[in-house]
Amino acid sequence: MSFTSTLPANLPKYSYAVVAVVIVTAVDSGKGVDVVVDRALQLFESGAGVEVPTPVLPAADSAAGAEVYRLAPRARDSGVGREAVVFASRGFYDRGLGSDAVRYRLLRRPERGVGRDVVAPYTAEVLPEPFKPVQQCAEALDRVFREAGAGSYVFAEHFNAVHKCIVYGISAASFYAGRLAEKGVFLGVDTFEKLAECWRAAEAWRRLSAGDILMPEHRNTLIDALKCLEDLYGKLLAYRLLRVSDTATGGEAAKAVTATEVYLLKMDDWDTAKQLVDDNSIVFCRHGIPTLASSEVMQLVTEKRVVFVIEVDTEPYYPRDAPAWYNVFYTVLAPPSCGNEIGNVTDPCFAKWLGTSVPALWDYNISLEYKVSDARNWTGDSCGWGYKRYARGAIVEVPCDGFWKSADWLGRYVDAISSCLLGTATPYRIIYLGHYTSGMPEWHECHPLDACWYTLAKSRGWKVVDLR
Amino acid sequence: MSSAPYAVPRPKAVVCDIELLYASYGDVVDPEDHRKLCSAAKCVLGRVLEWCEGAAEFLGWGR
Repeated sequence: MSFTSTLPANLPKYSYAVVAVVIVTAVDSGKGVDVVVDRALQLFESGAGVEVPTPVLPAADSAAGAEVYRLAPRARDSGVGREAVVFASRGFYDRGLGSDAVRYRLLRRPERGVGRDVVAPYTAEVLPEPFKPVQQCAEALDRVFREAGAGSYVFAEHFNAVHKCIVYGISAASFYAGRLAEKGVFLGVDTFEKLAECWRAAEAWRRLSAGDILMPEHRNTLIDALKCLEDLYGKLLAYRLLRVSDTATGGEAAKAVTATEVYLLKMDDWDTAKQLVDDNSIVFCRHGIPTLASSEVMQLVTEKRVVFVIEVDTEPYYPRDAPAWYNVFYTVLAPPSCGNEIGNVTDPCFAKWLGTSVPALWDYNISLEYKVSDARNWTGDSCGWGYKRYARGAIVEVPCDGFWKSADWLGRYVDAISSCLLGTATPYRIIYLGHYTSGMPEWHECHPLDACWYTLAKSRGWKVVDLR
Repeated sequence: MSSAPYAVPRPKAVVCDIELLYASYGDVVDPEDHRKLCSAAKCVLGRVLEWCEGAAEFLGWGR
């Protein structure tokens, strides 16, 4: 497991102080903390070009319920500068998902630099009213807007005002993203990467003074930074503050009423599905998606926290019928499969959510010999349904009809897959490449699956988007 | 190398549905362009602020 993979490779090197703070959520103590700290040290040594001496351990941060390890910079790097924070959620780490849990946030930009705008960063001192600077900025923009009317001039300060507002915007987003991440809210590594990108874009600005020659770069830098901030907002919004990890307290989880989105797509509409797939997504699909290649599956489960749920039914699974899973979950599929069975759930995590047995109805299992060697069964039979974890995602088989016997069962499966394979209380997105809908043959004895999704979504306050 | 026989579209970015044209050397500063930039900045700031307020509420720092 590598933490460095969660950070942008082009993390800028800074000549000023970098303070790394490793926060390990105090789920339990002891094991693993040193490893986290060691990795953080390596990270900063390699990624940010800062040599960090032995950590000063620990400085309590009881308010956050966490153990805080402060890593002091070397004296030669002294000076006011950027503070970077790396923290690892212990719960994730212990479940082997450490790389997902590591976040970093950049709270402070340089307060002083040659030719740079001087903008007070967000700090603890600004609290509890961190909105005021942003609001004041917005008012300043109104003034600029009035002054820069047709027939008038644009002054240096008009440009500086826009830049200052962008910095405040990034600063505010940094501040809250960091605080939320500390609380275990899942914001996505890509959000923090975007945050770093925005800082870089904003820092490309050179403050204009009266009499300076205006260069195209001045305007273009502002446009780049603004575009980045908008993209960042999109990412922040996508995670909606609501991705709650297992480390969140009950109160936090209760507050985080989930807004999971359920997308209903046509059976073979993989083009749309892949635009929707993001971290913490579950994709329900049949074995055959002609346009989905196994290399694409492999890439997705390696790079994203996504679970593919393959609904196994009675059809033969020839390679030509199941290209997406070739060598990813099945080696080469060949009939016959094992026949229908009632699944006895043996995997403890699945059993917690599903119970000791699951309804299989007339669904067929695939023999173990056709599965990749390290697939694990979550039912106990020789042909049981299986799953396999990858670096970030997973692939899991479910009984095609049984898993949606009712909205209740569908919900149980979603819970089991989220908790056992994604490590979150609730998925961010569910993408259903639909096939069972009204008018299906009677041997699909359950009521339509799309209706099941609507029923489940309604009961949980989820949003259904039907794109079929 | 001869120049293109047709007008090359100027690069632009769209922020909050507002089209922002990138500047090139030789451009005249148009106040209207800057007003658009201000409008886009205010729009994005408003959105970010709204998100921050939601975050603050989530964190129990609601105003």
